[in-house]
Amino acid sequence: MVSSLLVDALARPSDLLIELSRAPDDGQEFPTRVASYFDGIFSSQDAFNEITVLDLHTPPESLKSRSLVRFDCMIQDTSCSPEVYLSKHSNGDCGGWGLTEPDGAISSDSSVDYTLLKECSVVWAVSIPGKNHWCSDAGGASRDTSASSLLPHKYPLHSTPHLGVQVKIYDPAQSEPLRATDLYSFIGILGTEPWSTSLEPTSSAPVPTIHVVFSRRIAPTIVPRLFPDPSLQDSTIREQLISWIAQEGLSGDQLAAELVLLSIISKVQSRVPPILPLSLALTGYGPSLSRTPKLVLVLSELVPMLSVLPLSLEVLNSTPFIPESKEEDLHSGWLQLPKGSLCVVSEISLEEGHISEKGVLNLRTVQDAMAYQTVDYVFPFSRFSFETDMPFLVLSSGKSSPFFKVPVQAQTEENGEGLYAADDHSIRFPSPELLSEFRKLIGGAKIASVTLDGTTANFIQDDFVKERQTASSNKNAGKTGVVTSDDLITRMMVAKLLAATLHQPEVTTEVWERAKALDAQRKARLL
Amino acid sequence: MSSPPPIDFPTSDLDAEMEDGTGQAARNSSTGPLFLPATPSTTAGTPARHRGSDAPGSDVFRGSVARRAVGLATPRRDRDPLFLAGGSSSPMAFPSSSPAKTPRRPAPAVADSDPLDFPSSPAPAAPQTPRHRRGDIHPSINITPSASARRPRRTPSTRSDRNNLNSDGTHLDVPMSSAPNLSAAPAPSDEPDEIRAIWGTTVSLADTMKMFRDFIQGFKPKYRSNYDRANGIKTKPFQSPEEAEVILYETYLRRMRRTGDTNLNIDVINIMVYPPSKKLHSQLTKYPQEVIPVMDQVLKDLMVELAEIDHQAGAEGMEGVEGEEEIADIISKVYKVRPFGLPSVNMRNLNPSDTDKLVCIKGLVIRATPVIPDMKVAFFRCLTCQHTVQVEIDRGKIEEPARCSREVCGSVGTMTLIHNRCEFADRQVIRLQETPDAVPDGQTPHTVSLSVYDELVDVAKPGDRLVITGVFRSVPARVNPRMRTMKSLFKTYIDAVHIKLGGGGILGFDKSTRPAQGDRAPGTAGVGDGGDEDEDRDGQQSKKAEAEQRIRELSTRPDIYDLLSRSLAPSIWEMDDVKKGILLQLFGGTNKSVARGGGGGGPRYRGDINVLLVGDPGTSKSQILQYVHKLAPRGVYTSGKGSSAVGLTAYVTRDPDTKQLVLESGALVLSDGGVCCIDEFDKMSDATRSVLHEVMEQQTVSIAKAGIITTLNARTSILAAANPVGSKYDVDLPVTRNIDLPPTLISRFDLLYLVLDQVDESLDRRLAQHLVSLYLEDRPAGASQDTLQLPELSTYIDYARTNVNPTITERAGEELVSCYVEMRKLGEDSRTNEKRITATTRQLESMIRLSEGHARMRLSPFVELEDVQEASRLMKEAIRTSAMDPRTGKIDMGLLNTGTGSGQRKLREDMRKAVLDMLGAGGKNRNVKWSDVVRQLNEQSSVKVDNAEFNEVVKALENEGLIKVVGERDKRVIRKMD
Repeated sequence: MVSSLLVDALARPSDLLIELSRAPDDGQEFPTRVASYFDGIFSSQDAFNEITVLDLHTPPESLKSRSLVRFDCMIQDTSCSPEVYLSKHSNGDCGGWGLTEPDGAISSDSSVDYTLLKECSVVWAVSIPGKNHWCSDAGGASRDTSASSLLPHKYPLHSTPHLGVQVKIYDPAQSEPLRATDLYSFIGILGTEPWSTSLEPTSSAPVPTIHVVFSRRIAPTIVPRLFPDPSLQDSTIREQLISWIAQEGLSGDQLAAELVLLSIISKVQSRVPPILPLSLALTGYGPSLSRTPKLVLVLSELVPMLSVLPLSLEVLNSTPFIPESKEEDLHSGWLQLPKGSLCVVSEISLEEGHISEKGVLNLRTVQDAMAYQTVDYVFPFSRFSFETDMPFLVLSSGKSSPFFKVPVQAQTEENGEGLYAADDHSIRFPSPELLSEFRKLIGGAKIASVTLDGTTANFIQDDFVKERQTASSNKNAGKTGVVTSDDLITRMMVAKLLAATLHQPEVTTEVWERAKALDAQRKARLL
Repeated sequence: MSSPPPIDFPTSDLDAEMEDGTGQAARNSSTGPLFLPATPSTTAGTPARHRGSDAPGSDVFRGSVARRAVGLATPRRDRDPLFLAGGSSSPMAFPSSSPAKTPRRPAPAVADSDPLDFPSSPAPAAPQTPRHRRGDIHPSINITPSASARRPRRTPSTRSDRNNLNSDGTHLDVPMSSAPNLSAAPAPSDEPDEIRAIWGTTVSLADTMKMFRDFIQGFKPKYRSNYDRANGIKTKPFQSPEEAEVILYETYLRRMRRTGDTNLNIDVINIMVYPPSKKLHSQLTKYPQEVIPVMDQVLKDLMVELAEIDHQAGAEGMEGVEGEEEIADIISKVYKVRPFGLPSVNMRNLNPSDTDKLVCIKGLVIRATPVIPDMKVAFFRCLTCQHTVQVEIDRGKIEEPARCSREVCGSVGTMTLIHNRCEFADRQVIRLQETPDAVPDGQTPHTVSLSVYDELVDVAKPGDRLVITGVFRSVPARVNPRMRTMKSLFKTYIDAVHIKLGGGGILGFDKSTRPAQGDRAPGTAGVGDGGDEDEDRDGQQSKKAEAEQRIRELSTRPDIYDLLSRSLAPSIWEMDDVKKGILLQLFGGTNKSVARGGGGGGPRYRGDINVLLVGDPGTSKSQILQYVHKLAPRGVYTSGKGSSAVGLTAYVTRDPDTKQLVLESGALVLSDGGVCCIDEFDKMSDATRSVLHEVMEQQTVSIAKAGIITTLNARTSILAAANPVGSKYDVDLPVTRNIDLPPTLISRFDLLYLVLDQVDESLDRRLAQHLVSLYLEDRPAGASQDTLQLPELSTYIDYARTNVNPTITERAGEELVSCYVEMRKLGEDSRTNEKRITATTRQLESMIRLSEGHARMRLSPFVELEDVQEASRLMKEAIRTSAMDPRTGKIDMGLLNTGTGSGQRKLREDMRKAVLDMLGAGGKNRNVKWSDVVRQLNEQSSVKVDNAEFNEVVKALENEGLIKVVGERDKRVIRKMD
């Protein structure tokens, strides 16, 4: 029974909708019924996986109209005006979901019963920016498609192939919580309809549209993870992970590798007081000659979402960094990324030259995003600040970044060459099992919540006071010996992240000492 | 139903006009003459006269059409252009209709002869409907207000038969004599056969009319004030008891007559609170389409009645002929009721169930189309028989007649649109976006479309905040020929009936940018409001007023100073005085310019306060800067050595020293009117620094480019942070030696704070505790202290900066003087003769600015004693830390102003003598090795000779020509000159 329902739902969802609308009313609003009905059909993971996934390999054009699809996406634009549809057709069947009025019933003079009008929300959704290939379970043959969105200005990563789909949500309970940059799986009926925001509907080209029947939220780690994971608590996996990052990404620099690991798992813990992700700057990359740093390739195997912001003068001066509403269409910008993604700001291809006013504003938005973890969306006559949550990893060629002051700077040991990939296949991968353990460790650490008990807190305080005392007493020995409050803050953040990577839910004195040692090493490198 | 009730007062305007026309022939080409032919309405027409008169009429008509068609429409015309069109077309109807009694046939005949001859057109319907055709209202059951007058012959269905437009002329001759107008008619509802209800309801239109009539004739301000009082809304007390009893709307009606206004804005709350019209309120909100036209009609009737009464009573300006003219004028006009005052709803909450209801929303205009000529009546002509037909717009659509309606002709597909004979109205589509304060957290703003018509066109411009009262519409989306599915989709928009500008927003428009008259929100006549009180309707205060009140309340707190300074960068530990100094910087002093003086205005004294923080690395200087940057209006944060300050643009360049890429940005010009935060101030290039001299005193930046020197304003406060030379502050050296900055620049900072990282066990412990609890607990409790959030603080500062300009009281002035004198006295030392400078006029100026800033912070219009005292305390604190000469332990402003303190000067004097002595002692050997001199000096002196000091002394001697230095580096030799 269930299986036949499943087959029906997959094969002819529209018919199922109409049948449902004919079924006796159970008092709920129809859209709510639809959602729970379909959600019930696909409650098991196996059934869920049966649904065709819309991605670059299976673009909307390749699918039959009105088939049931799933789209894992980032919501890009929630500012579209809702659409009003007739919820009941003249023959009593339900309206909406792109269903058509039965033939013949269309007559121009039929008056409309306004009480039957309902509203559906319209959002624009795009492929998850920077999602790495290993996150999607399909992963199949990489068939090269020229598929791309009809509205490329609505995708944050400039000139990257992606899908963009108009999503119509009929259930207010589902559409209410949607926010820009949220990650969702929308399951619905595929169709093609004009893009709704443009004032003149005739001028807009039809775009792929999903009439949602139900939706599910996607975890910020994309693949659900566990913390603390007991299997990862002995630190062998962690050591292996660090040395793999070091070997393959940073030409053997263990310290930088560990800092990178800490940085990529950091997240916003609190806004008041600001405990924000630990952004990291890796300096000393030398001139790039337009090659990809190995580190980016390594990290893309490890984190679920990674976007590279190539900070060249051209990109800076000519591309949008923050979303801006133009002609009532919210154009995207580089920084419109989902919460939990890693943003690699690459300054390695930066040259000398002129920065336009737009470039300066762009720089400022990146600075603000780093410093406050907020991204402004520009609307006519108003700006709205949206919270984001992404660590930044700045790669710069010189000794320091010309643009950014980040809490943690680390200098790579080797200058130049070894940091760049000769070609795409220059990375040696560990065994797939180990790689998946790595991902598990990172994903778990990303969702970690780490605390400390009173004794450790006291220990840290005593330690700080003691250190300052000793530093001041032998001041003549070294001028920079005094620990400042800023140092303490950095150390504490490092300690928490360290505990998270160890899959320990608490900062212990041992972790604290390790964090201190790590920080000291980093500082020593900077001198 | 068969006979027109003679007492039917709501006669059509046309009838009245006609009536009037007979009396006032050719008085007015646009009205009078046109209506001459109207006389036939009672009897037969007088063809000769009307023939003669329609030419001017047609001119007017044509002209008006042409103007609208080309989009030159001026929405604020006294006479409603629509009316002109309608009015002028009305006479045309007559020759072809009533006199001939066979409306259809003669008309085409005339049209044949001259298609452009307007009178020929059988446009009899025009007089009835267009006059009341409001773009914003589409009555669903086709009631025109005049319908009641024509009730006997018209049923709601007649209109759907488009032929009635042709044939309606027959109705026109039905005598709607003006008699009912002249006699004060009883309300139509007295007639039993008058019952007409709004479709699908039991709402009787006649009742509605009566209620509205009662309302206009009976509403007194006392009803409203009683209601307001009962609901706790502040009301203005009446000046006199009579004021509460005045028949408010009749006075408005009279005012409308005097000013020639045709719009009456009616606060719906007034309707609600007047007991007899209570029901009307809900009728109006539920069925605006039907009720508003009825109200329009009643309004017009009452206008006429009132004019008649005044005319008969011989009121001023209404006597005799003048009065009759006035009445004729009134009759010729279209009156519109514009209701407002509904509680506004968020545009997100509008849903389809509100369709065709009256709603009120607030929003921000983001886009407005140019004026669109909106076709109201389409004019079709049969290509075969020249028969013409007019088709009215119905729910946004005009149906093209498929075939000629003339039975004789009946050809299919021959009807063509004659553009210049169609009637157009002004329309404008406005996109309205949610105001930022209405957008739910984390959401993007929504937009709705707004159609505005006639007088409301061009009232709002992009950027305006509006409160819109209008009818919510859902119309089927235009059917895309390719896509049938579109049929079940609808578009929603709002037809505006009332617009109010500047709806309680922070962005309120600058009234001075709009013409005083004319461009105002519609209905300057009788806006039923008392001016600005209107802002506070909706039962709640406008956000702005609320914010202002909160700010005022805050300012009365005794601990406001501490509260504000605590709220500044709350995550930063201690540094109270620094925060206070920066706080006052944010408030700023008042800019003063001497009114009298040369060059029209005299010199301008800056009110901006500059603050410099110098201190050890890792002491949160950058954090403070970043916080201020975020807080300050137009703050600009430039980090690092790159900011070139002058440039208008920015460059990435390679630093010549380190070969590293650096960013150079033009921070100063960008932050004109704000606070420019410069981190790593000491690392600025010399060129930039030289610019800063100008900025910090003259507040301008001069830029030379392509042979042109321009001076740009850079009225900015500067908050700078500098690291000491050698990264660690050496407490044994004076400030100037610790900072690599020219003293001239340092002296331009009003406040200079040393932020030193001092090791102190108890302090360290507290700090560590604070930080550990903050950063290590997973979900740290927000700072327990009572602080203001950043936006609040920012609003407070903004408010103070824009609204408070304190002046110095006499006592405060005296205190300033005595503080200054006291400060200068610190430099006097009775034991020695040396004179140290402890305060200069620069310090006095700073003190004034700080006092003003402090007064501003209290939102006080005057600088009081306490302000000066606090300013002087802050100054002293800052001077004590920064201008202390570590050698003498005494304050010496000379340190900051010239870079050398008096102690240092004395030291140099001694050293100079010693060097000269040494050289002189050498006798013949006038050459002494540099190192020897240093060594010898060290032997002589009890303190170690400072190399830098020695260099200075030698340089000075060299300049004086007493010695000469030969050689390089270690091999330098000092030679005594003769």
